[in-house]
Amino acid sequence: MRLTECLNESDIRTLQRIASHCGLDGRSSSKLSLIQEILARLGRREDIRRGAESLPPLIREVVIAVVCGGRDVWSAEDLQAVVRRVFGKGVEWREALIPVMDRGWLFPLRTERSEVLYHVPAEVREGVRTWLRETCRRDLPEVPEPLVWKEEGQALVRDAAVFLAYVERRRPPLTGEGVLYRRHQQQIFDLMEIREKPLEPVTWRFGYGRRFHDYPDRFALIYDFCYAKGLVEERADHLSLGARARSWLARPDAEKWRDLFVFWRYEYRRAIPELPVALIWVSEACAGGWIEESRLDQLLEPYVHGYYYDDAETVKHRRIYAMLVHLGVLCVGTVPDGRRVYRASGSAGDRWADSLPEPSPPESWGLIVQPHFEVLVPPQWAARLVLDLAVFAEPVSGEGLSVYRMSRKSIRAARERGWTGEDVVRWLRRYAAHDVPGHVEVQILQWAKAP
Amino acid sequence: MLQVSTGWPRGPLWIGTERKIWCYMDHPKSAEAVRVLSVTAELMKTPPRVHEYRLTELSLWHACALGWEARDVLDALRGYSMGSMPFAVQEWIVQTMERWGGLILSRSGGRYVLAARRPVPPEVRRVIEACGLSGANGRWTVPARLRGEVKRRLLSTGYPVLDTAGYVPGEPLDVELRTSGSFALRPYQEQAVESFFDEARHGGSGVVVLPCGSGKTVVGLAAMARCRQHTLILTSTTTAAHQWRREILDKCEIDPDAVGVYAGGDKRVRPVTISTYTMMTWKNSRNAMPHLRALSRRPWGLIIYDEVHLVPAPVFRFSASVQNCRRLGLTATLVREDGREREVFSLIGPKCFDLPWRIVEEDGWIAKARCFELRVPLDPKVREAYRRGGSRERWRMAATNPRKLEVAQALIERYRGTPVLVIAHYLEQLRDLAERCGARAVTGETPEPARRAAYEAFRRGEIPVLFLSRVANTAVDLPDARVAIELSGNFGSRQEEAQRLGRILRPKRDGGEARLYLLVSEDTEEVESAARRRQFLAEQGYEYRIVPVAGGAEYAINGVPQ
Repeated sequence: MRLTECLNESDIRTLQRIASHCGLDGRSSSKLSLIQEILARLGRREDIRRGAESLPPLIREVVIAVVCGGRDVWSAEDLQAVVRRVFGKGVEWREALIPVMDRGWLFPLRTERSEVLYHVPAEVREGVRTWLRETCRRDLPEVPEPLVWKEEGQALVRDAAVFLAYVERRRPPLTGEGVLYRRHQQQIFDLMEIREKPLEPVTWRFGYGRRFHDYPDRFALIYDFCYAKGLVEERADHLSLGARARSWLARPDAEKWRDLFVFWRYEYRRAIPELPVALIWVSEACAGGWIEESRLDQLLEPYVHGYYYDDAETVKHRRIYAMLVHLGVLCVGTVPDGRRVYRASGSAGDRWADSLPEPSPPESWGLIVQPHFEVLVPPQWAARLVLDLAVFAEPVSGEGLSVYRMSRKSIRAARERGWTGEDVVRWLRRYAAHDVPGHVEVQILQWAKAP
Repeated sequence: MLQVSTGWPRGPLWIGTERKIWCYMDHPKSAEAVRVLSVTAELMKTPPRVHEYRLTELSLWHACALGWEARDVLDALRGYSMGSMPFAVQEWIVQTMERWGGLILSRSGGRYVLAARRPVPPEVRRVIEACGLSGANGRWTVPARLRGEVKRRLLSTGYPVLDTAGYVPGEPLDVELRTSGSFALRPYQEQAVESFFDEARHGGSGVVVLPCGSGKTVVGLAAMARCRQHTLILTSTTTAAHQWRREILDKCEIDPDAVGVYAGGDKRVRPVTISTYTMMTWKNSRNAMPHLRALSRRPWGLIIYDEVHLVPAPVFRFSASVQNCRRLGLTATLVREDGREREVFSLIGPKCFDLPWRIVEEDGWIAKARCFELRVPLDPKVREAYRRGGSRERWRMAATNPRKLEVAQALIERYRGTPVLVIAHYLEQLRDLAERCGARAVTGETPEPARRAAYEAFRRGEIPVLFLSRVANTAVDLPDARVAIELSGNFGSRQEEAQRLGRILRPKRDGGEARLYLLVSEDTEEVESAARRRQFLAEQGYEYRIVPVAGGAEYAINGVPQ
């Protein structure tokens, strides 16, 4: 809602209080003139910025949480929770919010069903966001562009698909504790774009998901997500594909990414309660270019604390920054003197921390069937086609771009799963960007037919 | 089929975690990306839609010698990449390119000194110990006779040596380029000579890579005229050697007696001596190479290796012993069938100038060319024998498929009045076709004078079609051929294909385009090897149209699919 609308809907007493807080003559009884005066004073971005600066620290925390919470309407319960988180128990939340409402930054408005909801005007949200960004990057030393940096894009989505295809094909056995054997973990990692190593026997590892104890950080997230969403099922002695896997894979990558991100934020919030606010700071600080890690640490100081065996530094570096790199929203580089620097990645939206990017329509160029029986799958199709491809072609590991190879063996294997040679050819024609080479089609049919 | 949308990803390249690069050739930016790849990567596979490259140590060091730095390579690849570049690959590029310039050979007082800019890893130390070099603290003395060997062995461990030790001046030579009249260096030739002498960047020896037909010889002459010292020129054939002599006398102010071909009856060493690799490596009854010894003793100031990709192994040993002479390699391709690219790099020098074929063509220095691969069905009469034959016989049967003669005849008929070259690997096939057309074939058995006479007649337009055996593979100068027809070739030789295309690339008087037809037997092993042949030219940006000739040749000639 815009500021004008909020003011229009408010009663005269509210308007008078806001006016006198702005240093205007609050005794006027004309609603119209009050609104005009307030608008002239409040609507300016510069004033909002200065206002944010002058708030007492705890209230400022509440304002940041409310403004950057990713929604423009708050229920009383949600606001109460925010205030309690910042001030601790035993504070009357309405009282704490009075200074904010008096500023005209939060409007309690009654709905048609007589329920009170709290609105933050759009202008205020913009202004506070701008102030945040400027604060993060104020007096920032110039960071030279590093020579090399990590940028993972949507590799997490593609690797989740690789994992699901592996489960579908191999139904890997599980140990007594329900964990994949190291050998199979290694096979899965070898197929992935971003490689991890199976964990060495560890003593203490917990707090960041169900199987965090058993798997390395990134894969633990993929695994827990797939398990929680019913994409894989743990049977008595093996892992199998869940009923929802196909429909999930068929969705656009941007949506799959969003699911993973939301899941991660939810899982990690148990150990890092202030994660949502911390993410807002990170997103604002990294939006304008490279920033040093020490500076980010400093900004997150109030929100991130140690968690059992992880000290605050470890939580920031490994649980937040590193995972954001895996999620593809941050890039991490190293400058010549060895310090790490971060910036938002090209694919991350401007406001990834709260308002998630709208999924864009997928680019529709298809896969390429090479004359030497290789199938090249463009990245944005990889996750969606992975299960079908795995039926009749073998993934060629190791390069990130999904390359599948068809062979006599793989086509025979497809036949056992009910795909005829014609099915394979039809499928290839459907998804190929160009003609499928004639001799490839003929060969597939021959392989499928031969006894 | 899916609709191919205009929504291309931002770049045509996908860079894999194992340093493979896929280039989507339909992408609007693929031509620019290929230009970057031709400097930084090696081409591996060229199926029609997506080409496969690989980043190698050597390919990156060549880029270093051309003046590229790690950031240039990274920025260029990032700019054309559709996704992000795997971190491990970025790091590998930086580490590999850092090694360039890490070991420097220089001259201090009367001695050669190998200096390390940073602490050397154990494997380098082992090589240095194995070579018996004395020294410490990252500085070792290198005996003059080991200069080449040390470089070769260090490179094979993965550490290139930047040789800035300079050269022992050879005997002075009175020579000048004739700049009057119609002859002048083309801009890129001048640049090539400039980069060759740029000692700070790569040490002052190196290989100039220019397309066939773009005047590599002239670059050699200009280098000689600038060096003004006794010069040894090594070429692949006697014909080429004589041609070099003609060119020198034509384009340089020089005493004609000072230039000689070291071959046949006249084996005198002169200030400018031109010889062949075969002559150099000729062994006498005592298994020694007398000519190589005789020539290596002279105080040369410059050694020019024509067609570097053909330099035989013994000549590398010779090169290792003449490291104090400036060395210039000339070639259209660094691809060697024997994989000795590392020897070329360490003993002759890195690539110091490279101009993609297509650019020279766009500027009009060579003719525009279109390439066609015509798929000729195997003659029914040989099909049964083909199926039963061993691999050697199958190869031969596919290559000499009688149906090819009909197609070739139709092509010759079609291009009546334009100069046409027909090239074949198998003599009987060539003679067969020549006979059908009422002409004679030029083969290795044709005596030198008769060969020259035939070329002259072709040049004057007295004979419209020239039938050539493998003699066409090496540098013969046939000015105005417009169409080349390849009946058969040597398995999958990439450089042979490049040479053959080179035969028709000289600019045409009317600016028209040239055409190369490669005849391949359908459904045989020849198809596979043809793909290999195409590889080098594909790297240069030439694309073949593949056309089946099922009914008759007519359709195929213009590349119209039936």
